[in-house]
Amino acid sequence: MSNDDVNRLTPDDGDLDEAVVARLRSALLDDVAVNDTERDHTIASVLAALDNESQAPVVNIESRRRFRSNTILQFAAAVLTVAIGAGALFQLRGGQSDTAELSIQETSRERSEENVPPESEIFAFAEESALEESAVEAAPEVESMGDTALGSDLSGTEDEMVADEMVADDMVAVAESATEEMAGDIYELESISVDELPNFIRNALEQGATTLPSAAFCEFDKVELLTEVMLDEIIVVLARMTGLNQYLAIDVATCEVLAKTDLGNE
Amino acid sequence: MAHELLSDSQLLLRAQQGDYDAISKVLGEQYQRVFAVCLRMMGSRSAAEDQTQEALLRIARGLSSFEGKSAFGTWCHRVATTTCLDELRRQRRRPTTTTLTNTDGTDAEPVDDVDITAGIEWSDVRADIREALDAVPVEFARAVVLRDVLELEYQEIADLTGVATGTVKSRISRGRALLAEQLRGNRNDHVERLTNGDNE
Repeated sequence: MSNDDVNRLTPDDGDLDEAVVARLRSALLDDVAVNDTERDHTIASVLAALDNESQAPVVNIESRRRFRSNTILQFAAAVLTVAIGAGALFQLRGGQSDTAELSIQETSRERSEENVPPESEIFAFAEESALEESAVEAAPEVESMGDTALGSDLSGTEDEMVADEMVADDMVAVAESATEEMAGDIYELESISVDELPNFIRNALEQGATTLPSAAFCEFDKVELLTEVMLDEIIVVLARMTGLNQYLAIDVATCEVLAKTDLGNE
Repeated sequence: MAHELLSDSQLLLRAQQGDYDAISKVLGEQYQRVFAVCLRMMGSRSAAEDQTQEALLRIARGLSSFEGKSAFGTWCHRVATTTCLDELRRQRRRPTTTTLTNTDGTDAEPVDDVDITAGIEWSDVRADIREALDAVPVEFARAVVLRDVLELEYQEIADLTGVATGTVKSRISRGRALLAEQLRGNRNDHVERLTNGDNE
């Protein structure tokens, strides 16, 4: 048989008809004797292995959640960085002209002059924005603030504007990066079903997550504790707002909400 | 509802939903075929038993992803062959202390030392099949079995037997021809024996 002949061969080549193939199959596959004891043992082993594996995803979820908690902290740090930067920017503006500060705040927050908080509360306000609004929404807000400040005719010198622009760009970049991370985080949170949460919490607690006495727990209305994890010496509580699909990461040492994410309607 | 009263599709659905009793029953129903496939692939009962367990575990893990695009038995058959192929490839990657070398210094082809009829309880009805398989050189018979019985791809057979795909095709073609010839001869012999018996 030449190479050309060989290469032209197809499964239909040869002289075996379907009936012969069927008989071959039947003989080689159906006539194989099976040891019932061995079969039962094998199936029992498979079921036992399955049972063991069913516990494993909880550990994986815990690992993922721990990663997520880190991501939340990173996001919170990014938001705080942006907030501090925004606060510094306001203070910088405030030092130049009270009118400028008011103008910036009126434009960016669409607030009346009466509602503008005192200068000492600017940082608190900036921080609050990270708490009150969803994490994903917070970043564009900061970007808006930066853009408005740079566009103000009442700002200082051109050099200051360039410096401000660089700071604002950095803040926006950090915020966008954090937003992207948070988007991934939300996606991962969606992958955990409600049914898995109790096991996850139990597992996380069993694996060394610190449990705080309830008396020491920060007082938040309408919040359900999901779990607590120790991250870089910070005890972070993951909590869910009752009746909502919003999750909070809370630093229990300060009762400070580090991050908040909204999973929307699910 | 007792599992005995469920149809195959209902039982499979229960198994896909994680019902351990249903999984146990589904695996029990597939055990014989999976074991037979593994036995044909591995050549010994002990190796086949190990791979059967692994294949059943893969089947159980994959139950939820089975979409019914093929028959469940066909899917299990494929999982079993894939499991054995993986194991045989793993074995091949393990370092060995001996090298098959021909007297002229060239590498020799792997020996087809797998018993392709291991574990079969031959009945008289299959006598002609058994005689035909015994009469055909093992490398040809095995190529036919791997292709026509186990439904492996040419490349998979080539990987498994350590020969080029062209050689695989050639072996399958020649193996089929030899088997057909043997079966025709056996049938003629059988008829002749029956005829002689009638005359006597």
